Amino acid sequence: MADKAYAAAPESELQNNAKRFSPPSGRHSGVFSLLFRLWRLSARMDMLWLLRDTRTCLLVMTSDLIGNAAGMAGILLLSARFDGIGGMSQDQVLFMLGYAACIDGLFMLFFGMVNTGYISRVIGRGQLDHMLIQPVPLPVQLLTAGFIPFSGSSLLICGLGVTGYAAARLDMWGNPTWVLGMGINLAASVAVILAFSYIIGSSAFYAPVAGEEVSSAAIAFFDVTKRFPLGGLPLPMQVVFCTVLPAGLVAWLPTARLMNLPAAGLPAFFLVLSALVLGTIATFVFRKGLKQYAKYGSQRYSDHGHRR
Amino acid sequence: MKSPQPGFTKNPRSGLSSRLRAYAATGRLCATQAFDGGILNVLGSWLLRLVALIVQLAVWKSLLRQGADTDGLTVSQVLSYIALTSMLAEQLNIVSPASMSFWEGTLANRYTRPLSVVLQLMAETIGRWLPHLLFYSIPILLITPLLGVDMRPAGWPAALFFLCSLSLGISLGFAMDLIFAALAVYIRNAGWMALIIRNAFFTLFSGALIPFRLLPWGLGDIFRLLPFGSLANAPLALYTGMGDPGPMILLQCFWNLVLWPVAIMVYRHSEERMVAYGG
Repeated sequence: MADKAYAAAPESELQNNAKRFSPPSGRHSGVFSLLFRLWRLSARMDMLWLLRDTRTCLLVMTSDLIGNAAGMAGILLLSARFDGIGGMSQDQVLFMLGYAACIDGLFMLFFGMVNTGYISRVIGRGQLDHMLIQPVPLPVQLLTAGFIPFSGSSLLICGLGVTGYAAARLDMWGNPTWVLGMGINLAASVAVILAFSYIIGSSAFYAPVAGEEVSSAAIAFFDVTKRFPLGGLPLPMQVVFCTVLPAGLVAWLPTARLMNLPAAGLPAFFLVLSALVLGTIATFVFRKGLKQYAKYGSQRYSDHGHRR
Repeated sequence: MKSPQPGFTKNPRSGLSSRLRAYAATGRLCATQAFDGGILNVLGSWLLRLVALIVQLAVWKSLLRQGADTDGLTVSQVLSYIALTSMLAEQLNIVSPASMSFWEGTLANRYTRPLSVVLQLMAETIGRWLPHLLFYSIPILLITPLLGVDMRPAGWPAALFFLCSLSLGISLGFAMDLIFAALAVYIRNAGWMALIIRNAFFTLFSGALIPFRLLPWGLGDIFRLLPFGSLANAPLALYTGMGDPGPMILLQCFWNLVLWPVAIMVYRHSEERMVAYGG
């Protein structure tokens, strides 16, 4: 169907699009310029959605906030009850929960639309075809198509507010160098979750029906586990939960290090290193899956466009 | 949508046994449906739950063994409470296909069958529990001793009260599910959001995450009185010997008596507003 639509478009229009969105070869500035143009385009579409369907949009924002607040509240209540948990004081727990909300907010902001974060859905549903016919490199599309700065920013704003408040209570603003560390760690945390989603989600190239929702399971793993402060566990368990079962990798480890607390005996750059390693593995696995896709394509849609 | 076969009208199939067979067949179909997408799909969610349980148990163990004030609760009671929450997740938080099938448009199909729509939804929900019970809950029950959890109930009376309370909780869960399904109809294209909000309320107010006796500022005493508290906290507290059976079961009966008529009323009303496109 998409092929037909593509074929039906005037040739001059396709050529214009190709000129506008294809980066000049060999020029990195061209790629960045393209990225920013597409982010702007996604932002405009998001704004249009907000203006056109304000009620639904506000409902989405509210439900995201309520869902996240409920997730935070459990740990926060425990922390209040026991005057801190997992080797952290109440304010330190609050800082960690704010950081976790920032991760969710950033993920939502950059990968919250058209399932660019939940890649197994795109692959499993055969929707990668829609991207492959666009005159824009696939990585650029995956980085830009999910950008929703208006409808998807509420969680990030809330997370930043909570983190800032906790930082003030912990007197961290006296030496604001932690902000830089937090920025780097946040990017690494999101990269780890995204890489995890892409590594697991690439199984949908080989089993589109069975694998359609595996990225959701991968991301849900971090949703469910990342808010637990693990400082009270024996050291070997802390290491296990930061490596093999990475429940503490994306939020507990970086925040503990930002607050100069010991965390599984791992260095501060461990998260960044993990992000780089997992990112490399994800790229390799995804590219391998794409080769499989190029051979066999997707069988999910019938001739009438219904999903099998 | 004005339906020819509204959810609560008497269905035309005569004979109780034939109707029961039809619902059992619906449940059976839904039980096997869990594997339609292949084992990978369900295995991922079970693995996720198992890891989450392991992390929770580890955190609770470390917290309680550091000498925290637990209001008289033992480590064993808290750990079996947490493990049971994971094992009975579907029964404590009833999510029938109602909201999502309205969102997807497939709810309309159920109105074309000669069976009560609400009972179909209940049969489907119970059917979908079976794979989870067989392949997650029972194996977890068997391996919990390895995780350092004693899953024996607080006594035979506690086990009986638990079964009674769990049944009342499931009944109440279906009533609340219908109310949320009706809400999804009212907010039309945002059924997914209704589900997120509902899960948030359940997480916070039901006692599925933290036993009410361990909540600060006496919040547990307030949450216990809310209908959400009757869904999870009541059966779990009775199983682990954390509460007095009489008031808990009476409260569950009260909420069932109040919320079922409300659920029927709002769902009937919402049927008039249903619009399905797709399916």
